[in-house]
Amino acid sequence: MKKYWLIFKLTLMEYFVYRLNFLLWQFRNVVSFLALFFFWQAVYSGRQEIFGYQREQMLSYIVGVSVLRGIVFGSRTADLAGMIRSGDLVNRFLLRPWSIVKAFFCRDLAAKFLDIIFITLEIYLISRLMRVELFLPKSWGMIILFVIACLLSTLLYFFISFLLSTIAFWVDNVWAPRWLFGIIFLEFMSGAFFPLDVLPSFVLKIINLTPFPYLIYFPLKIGLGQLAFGKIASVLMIMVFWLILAVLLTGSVWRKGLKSYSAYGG
Amino acid sequence: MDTIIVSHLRKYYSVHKKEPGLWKSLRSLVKRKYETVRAIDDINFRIGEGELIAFIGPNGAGKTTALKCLSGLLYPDSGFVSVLGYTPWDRKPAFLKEIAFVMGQKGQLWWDLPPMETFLLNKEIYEIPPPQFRQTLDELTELLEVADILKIQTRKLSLGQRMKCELIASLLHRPKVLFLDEPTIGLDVVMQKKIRDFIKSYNQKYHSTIILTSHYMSDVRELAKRVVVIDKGEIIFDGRLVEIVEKYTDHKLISVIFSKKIDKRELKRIGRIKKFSYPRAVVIVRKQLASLAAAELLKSFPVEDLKIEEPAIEDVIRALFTGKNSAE
Repeated sequence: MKKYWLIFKLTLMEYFVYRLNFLLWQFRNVVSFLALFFFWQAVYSGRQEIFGYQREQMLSYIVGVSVLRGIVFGSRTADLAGMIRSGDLVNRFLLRPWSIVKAFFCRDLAAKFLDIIFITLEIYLISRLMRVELFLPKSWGMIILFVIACLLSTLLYFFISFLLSTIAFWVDNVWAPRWLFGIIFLEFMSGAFFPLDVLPSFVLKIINLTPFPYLIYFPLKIGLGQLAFGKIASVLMIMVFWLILAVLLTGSVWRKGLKSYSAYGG
Repeated sequence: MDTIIVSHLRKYYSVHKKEPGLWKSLRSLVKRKYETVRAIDDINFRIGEGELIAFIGPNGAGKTTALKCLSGLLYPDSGFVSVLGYTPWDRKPAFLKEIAFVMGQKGQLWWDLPPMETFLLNKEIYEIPPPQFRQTLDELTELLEVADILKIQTRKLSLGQRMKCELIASLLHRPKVLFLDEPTIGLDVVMQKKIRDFIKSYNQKYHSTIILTSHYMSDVRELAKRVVVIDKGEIIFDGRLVEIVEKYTDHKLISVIFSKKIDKRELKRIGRIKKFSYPRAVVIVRKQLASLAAAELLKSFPVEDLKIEEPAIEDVIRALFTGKNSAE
């Protein structure tokens, strides 16, 4: 077990090597929060309610998105594609008595750890500066359900992203698929831009058939206390279903990929 | 029992053939030509415990592919491989703990962190007991004289220093089988020699089985008693290095220093003249006739000094790869 703890530590140390890069990277969360903030500020100008969302509710939503981004999307799995391509996967990960999936997950945890600390700090400062009321879950039950949902969505994202990187076993350049995934599916369909229920209901129905809204939208709705208990139960169950599917798929695709992997470079 | 057994091993690649030019590149979006490359084609050999052998062959001959199959990186198309009694590509943790694969061109060290961090990580990955870790680390750092650079960021190290640290990182768990793919590539001669000496003493001390590939004949000559020559995916020679010379040359070289001017045409009687610039000459003669030719030279020419030599191993190997006679 200690090897995975060490991977966590080394990943953190890697972040700390370059100070400027580190600070700017952590600053990205502020930028994406501010972009969303000013966008919705403009949309609401003078009005109190849009798409059934009160101004305060919408603000709570985008603050929540910023925090959840750190928890769910903070990931190093995109590195995997590059490592497969360059052959670094071979030197640093393959041919060692450990689990590569676990090692990568520990790298993710390190990334998330930093993201969460900084985002909490940043959001707190910004909300004080802009006088935004922060929404905090009212009951312990809500908090527990929210934490469970976050754990599931974190794992789900990890495996989806890992799976996507394994495309590199067959395709030399995975930039396009990752971009498509990153922007269209991740940002749009997960609810990281806006709450999904502002969309027409038939679009929402289609999106709900994919695993993406379970990454941000549903966990956040649970956290904001906007879902009934029955709905929460079914959401959590669907998340477990997607997670199992993603784990199984990742395992089999990974094994197939390794079989066809020719470990370039000599 | 042999440590490594390889029997009828085959590995073919399918390679996308890229034609030059923009139009051809565009066309290749729709239609691609694939070519099958026979990286390894039916090879067989056995290696005993503690042996240090070298794979040699021209670039693209299949040496690295062979190493990759033996270490479990690649799944072969057919054939049987056993390393320490394991099938490599099952990648069982017990097997992985007993081997190491060092590539001269690629490293396992964490680029942005000092080598020591990678060593500590490997200590956990390979579950090395702390006293053994300390002891091995001390021994290896002393042998390679790197004690003072272990805390410097890896990217700031020189190529030679990095290679030494790569070796340490790969040897901390004392692998029983070690694969070295061009460990001395790009290093200066002094550093090459150091790495070479280190590999040799490691082999003797831990009695580990080592397979190395190298393009430097001095590596091969100094390290390996046994060489396997691979060309176009096939083994064309497997045996002691000196045997290559015996087997693949039918000639010897006689170097002479004359004490007086002689007629070059006269010399042709003895054998083919490889070099002639008075007072030195090198004559190529049939192996069986070497002593006869030497006697004749001594008898009919004003000879000051004479030496009978085997052709240089480099020449023999080069000839072997190109299919030409090494006397050319």
